[in-house]
Amino acid sequence: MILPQWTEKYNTAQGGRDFLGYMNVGVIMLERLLPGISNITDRLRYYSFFSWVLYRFIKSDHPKNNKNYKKYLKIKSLAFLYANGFLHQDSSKVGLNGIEIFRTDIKNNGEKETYEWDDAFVSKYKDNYWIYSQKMKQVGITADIEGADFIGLTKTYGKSLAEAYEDNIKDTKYFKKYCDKKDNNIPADVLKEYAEKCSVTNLHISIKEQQLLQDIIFRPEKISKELNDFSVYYSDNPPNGARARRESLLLMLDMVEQKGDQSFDYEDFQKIVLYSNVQNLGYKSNKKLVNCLEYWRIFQARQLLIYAIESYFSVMTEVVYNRNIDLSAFIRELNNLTEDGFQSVNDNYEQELSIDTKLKDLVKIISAGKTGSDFDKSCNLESKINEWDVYKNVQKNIKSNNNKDCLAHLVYLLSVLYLRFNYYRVNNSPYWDFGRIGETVSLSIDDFFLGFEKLTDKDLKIKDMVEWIAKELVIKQHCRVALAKLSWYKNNTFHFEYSAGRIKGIKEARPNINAPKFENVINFLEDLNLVERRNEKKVSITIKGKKILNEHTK
Amino acid sequence: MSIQNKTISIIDEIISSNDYEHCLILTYNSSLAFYEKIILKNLVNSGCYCNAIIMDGSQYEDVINEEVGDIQFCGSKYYSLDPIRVKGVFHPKIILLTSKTKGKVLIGSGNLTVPGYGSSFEMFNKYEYSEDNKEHLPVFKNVKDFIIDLTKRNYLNPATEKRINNILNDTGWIPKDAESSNNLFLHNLDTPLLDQITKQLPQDIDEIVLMAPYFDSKLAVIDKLKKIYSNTKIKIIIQDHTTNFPIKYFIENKTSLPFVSLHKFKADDTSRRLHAKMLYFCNASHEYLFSGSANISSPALIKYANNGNVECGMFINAEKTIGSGISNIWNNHITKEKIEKITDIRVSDISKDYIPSISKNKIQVKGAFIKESILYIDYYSEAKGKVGVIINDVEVIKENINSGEGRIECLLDLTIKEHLSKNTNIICLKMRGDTSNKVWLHNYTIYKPGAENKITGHLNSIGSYIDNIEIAKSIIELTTPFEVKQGYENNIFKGSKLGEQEELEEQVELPEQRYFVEEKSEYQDASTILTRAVANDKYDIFGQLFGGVARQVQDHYKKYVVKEDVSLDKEENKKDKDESPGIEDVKQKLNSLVNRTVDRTVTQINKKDFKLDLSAAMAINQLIASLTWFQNGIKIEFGDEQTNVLMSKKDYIDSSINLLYRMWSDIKEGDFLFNELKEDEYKLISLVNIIALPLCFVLYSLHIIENDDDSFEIIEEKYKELADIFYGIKDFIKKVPEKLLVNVISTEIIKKIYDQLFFINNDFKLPDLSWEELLQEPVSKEKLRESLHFMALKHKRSIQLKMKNELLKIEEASAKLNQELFDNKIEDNSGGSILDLIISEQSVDRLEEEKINAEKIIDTNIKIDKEYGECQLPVNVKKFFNIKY
Repeated sequence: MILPQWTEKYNTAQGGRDFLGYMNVGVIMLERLLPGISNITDRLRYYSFFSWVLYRFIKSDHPKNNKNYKKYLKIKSLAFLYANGFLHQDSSKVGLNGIEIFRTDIKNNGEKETYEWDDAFVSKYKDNYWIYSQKMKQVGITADIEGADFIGLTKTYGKSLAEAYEDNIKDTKYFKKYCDKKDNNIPADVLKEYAEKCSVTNLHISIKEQQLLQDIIFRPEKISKELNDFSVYYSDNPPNGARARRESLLLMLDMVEQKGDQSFDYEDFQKIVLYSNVQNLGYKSNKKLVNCLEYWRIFQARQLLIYAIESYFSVMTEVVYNRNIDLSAFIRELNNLTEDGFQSVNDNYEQELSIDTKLKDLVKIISAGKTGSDFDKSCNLESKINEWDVYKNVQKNIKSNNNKDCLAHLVYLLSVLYLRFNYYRVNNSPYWDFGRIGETVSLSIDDFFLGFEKLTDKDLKIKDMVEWIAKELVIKQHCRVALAKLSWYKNNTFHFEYSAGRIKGIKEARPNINAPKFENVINFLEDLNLVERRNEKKVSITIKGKKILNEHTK
Repeated sequence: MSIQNKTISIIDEIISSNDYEHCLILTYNSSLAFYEKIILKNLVNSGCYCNAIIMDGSQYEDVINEEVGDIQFCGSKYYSLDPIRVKGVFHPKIILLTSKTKGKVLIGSGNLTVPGYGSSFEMFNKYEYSEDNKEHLPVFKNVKDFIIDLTKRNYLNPATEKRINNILNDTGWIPKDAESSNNLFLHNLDTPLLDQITKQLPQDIDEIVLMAPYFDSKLAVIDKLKKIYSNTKIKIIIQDHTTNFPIKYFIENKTSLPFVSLHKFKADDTSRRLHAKMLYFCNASHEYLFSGSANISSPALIKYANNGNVECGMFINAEKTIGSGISNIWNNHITKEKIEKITDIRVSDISKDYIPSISKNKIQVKGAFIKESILYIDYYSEAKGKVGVIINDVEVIKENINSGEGRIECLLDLTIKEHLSKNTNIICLKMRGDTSNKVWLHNYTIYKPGAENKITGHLNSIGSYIDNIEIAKSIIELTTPFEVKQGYENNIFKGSKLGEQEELEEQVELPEQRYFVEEKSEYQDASTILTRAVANDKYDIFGQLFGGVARQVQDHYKKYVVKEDVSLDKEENKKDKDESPGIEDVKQKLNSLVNRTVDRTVTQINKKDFKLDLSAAMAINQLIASLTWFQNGIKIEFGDEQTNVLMSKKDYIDSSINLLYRMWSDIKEGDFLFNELKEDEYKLISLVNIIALPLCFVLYSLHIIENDDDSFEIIEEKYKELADIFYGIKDFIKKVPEKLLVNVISTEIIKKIYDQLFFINNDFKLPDLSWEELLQEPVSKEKLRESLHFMALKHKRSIQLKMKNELLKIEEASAKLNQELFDNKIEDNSGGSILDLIISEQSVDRLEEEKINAEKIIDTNIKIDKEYGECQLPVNVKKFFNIKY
């Protein structure tokens, strides 16, 4: 006889963080603004280190396939990590990948005389090569080899860089005795000696290596065709990723210079990007970098938009958590919360919004009659309603689980974004191509404005906008993305289930935003001796930095 | 019987099953995106080709309204979906997997949704049949009867009916009669379930346990059970938050329910929703359990199909044993504490599950399908009159209908066809302002595994020759017989987790210096212009296809040349050469095609500045010349080494158009990719693509004409294909100018190219495909029909001519015979065909005339337009046709 069986949960593996699939567009935009540099590429030294490992591997007798290479690479990476670990174990931010592995090892086992990593440890250890490998290709250090699936080093940059690195470490015991040894038994003092030469923070000791890296990341645009493809953002001809990267770096360098002795961090950078065209924030835009600044501005606007939608997602997961309710009742609840939020938030902004306010009126109220660039000009950090302060308020309310105020602020935030940036779209600005990245599938800022405008044209109200966002941009999108993740990676990332008109909350979420590359860029500039850090917030330009800035922009 | 702790993964049960050919799913609601991405994809790829879903009517309406954008295959040859509209709700949850020799059926509580199959607490009964395991045949028999009964009682789309008949016909192993075992399949098509359950029970029941998420507001089932088993304890298990149990009613009426206790459902994972439904009974000696789709509600258990829901489930009974009995299924999930107060449990509002919302339109579409080029729409209408047929939101035609039930039949002509998308189409009717419900249009054809392999096999093999792995992958992805489109996933996951994927592990060993590569300068790698120019862009797969083949042929050509240089004088090689029958042909072909086209182009382009017009024209020139390779496919043998680049024109053209159409469909004007197209190389490739398509069309026309031995059916089929291709091109041409040409490439240039190309059509009396006409709406349908008809006549004529003599002979013989038999009274019963022949002959004369005219036009077009410089486009085209025709 057969008995009925309880069903199992299918694929309980968790994973990912982009639960709405919108954040990746931010990554794509960043790829275009700073091709070859990512949030994970912390230090320029890694480019030469990985080039060198590849160079050694090519010269070795190992069969040239990716499997062998990965194993070969991991041993070298561990030696690099441990060497750097000894040197930087007490530093808080050095941009050393895997520092926690080293620290845990030291904490648990103390410092050993020799280091030998067993196979299990090696296979478990994950270096960041997978991301560097893409970036190295983008900057022209590596390139595909025709007729082979194994990557090659470019002669001009990759090979030279590897040779420069090797030249730098050639007198170390590590290089002479250990780096090509079949076993991986390395004395601690050998690693420490190696660290003096390979430290992620002492690129300056190898002038040739430093110069090559500078040439690579500030290179002119006439480069490999392949490098252009994923990294175009200028519409002029020929498009080129190298230009985008160079100008973005110069832009940051320019800001550092103009800021002088004042502190300068990512928040300052964001504010300058958003408001320097309407407000004196101690930065006067450079004519040669003005295009670049505009693209960054659109990028920042989309970041805020996605943060807003992610915040809706966060609030919604919290409201529906562990419940199973009709979608219409759920939307009503969201709107009621928004209405409650207006009670307190309206006072701050001296406005009288309600969920029954028509979107047409909402736009009029927020803009006080100004439109397009006029509104843009009037909107700065000193004005009552500006997206930066509203965004900060959303963040604050999310942290304190104040859903109602958060929802009300979100209406303000979206309205300001629409009012400040929609005129790029309406006027067919040449920069607006950037705002179209993501399309409907991943919610480009253009697509959001279009949707907003459709609701406005239909004479709908704030509550209809909330419904649209909740249903279309959050629920459906989340289910779509989670289903795709289930189908592709077998990861169950559902935060709620939606079926037969009912929504069942499973787990809560917090809004995400793409981490900036700002710190990485500053690290890179520091590695190249173009800026120097005084403390965490203070960075100043060096003579070399001024020189390169002048060369390119004056 | 110790399976208490065993659990089942429904998704794995379905997708890990091999060797099944049919899968029928009955469900209340469904997430078709989930079905297509997780279930169907695996089913089809494992050979389960005949798939159908039957679901509740009101839920169907929700799905078609809400999920439509995410659905790719509903109604296509891969699966059908039919709603069943009943008084209450159609609520069974059955998964039936069968083949000619085996079967598996899952009967339970989970719907075809992510929660239903993947996350909620559901309960399923699984039965399998194979030649070695016939124990549960009665269950299969009962399920089969239930399905037959359902199909008899309810309207089903004939496309679904066909699938179900397939299943029924192929399950001959299910006997017509089978003795019921202690696993009894129950349904309520005729009798309420509770009546059937209690009929199976003895009178002395000691304990009843009920578990479900949903209850009716007056607890009618409990009331009824109490009346039958008056002093029996009844335990009810409900889950906090997710149940709609009428707690207020229960507390208020507690005095009348003295033996009823309420308990919370207990589970480790609180995020999972209890959706299983169960009725358990026991006495001192026996245990009984019903589990399936029915909630503890009146429409589910007390009523039956005519006045309530349609439900089903399994009833089992067994002797009571200690520790391993049926009760273990639930007793690990019940809390001892009773729920005494309203606040002890949080209940959700009354589920909309129980409020069917099927539209009550004055005009309703029951089902729509396409069979043999006819569109059928089954409807019900309150009034007679003219209705508009709306396909994908566009009113396509108008038809007169009568009141009551009826069927619209219309020829699937080009007007309709051009509004149909390849896989899913939604149809509804409109009459005097009233719009009907929507349904998915179904394809009557069922997917046959292997049918596409011919085409996709070729494309895949070409893909494998392309250096760029990403491009090769994208071709393979596009041409995989069944692959759920991963558009947004690509977008979403690009650069994230994909980056961590293992790279290909093929071992390669190269000399050390090969690992140090030169920085690539623009256009450096020019072994073929197309392969290089289109690298890294998905829109130019057509170019890739061509480039891949070109490269392959070129490589082999080089090999051949090398071989010849080194060893041509050696006797053994000479012998080989002589014995290789095709080698001279190959050499000639390669010399005349490869050397003359690709190599030269590449050399020229490398030497020159890459100016748009000239280089584009040259590339077009080469493409056109090279397209001749596809005339019969390319099959090349090199001595003992055989290389097949076999791709028939039809395969090539079909696939190319399909790919191109999809590519262009994806582009939105103004998106960033579009802007990338402004670059020179994209202009070039776009031009190549644009120019290649009409050529494909012409080539395909030739392909149709060249085969005299085809039967009428085949000819007709070919014309249908031709019409499809034509419309593909037409759409393509319409789309491209909108999106690209007008903004990027001079319309004038394109016009000229088209003017030059379409002169060819006069040769076949195709419609005058002038630029303006192509963009007109509706396109000259009559002209197309006329010319297609003319082409058909031409084919028929060749066959009829052959038949003519035979017919005349027969007529003569017949006349002779008749004369003898009926004394000069001849009855001519073959006059019709003779008349046809006369008409055909007239047509043939007209054809000859037209052919002469066409040749004149060809001559006038030989002159090369200045704008194309060295381009010898018309000459090549002419040569090609002269050779061929």
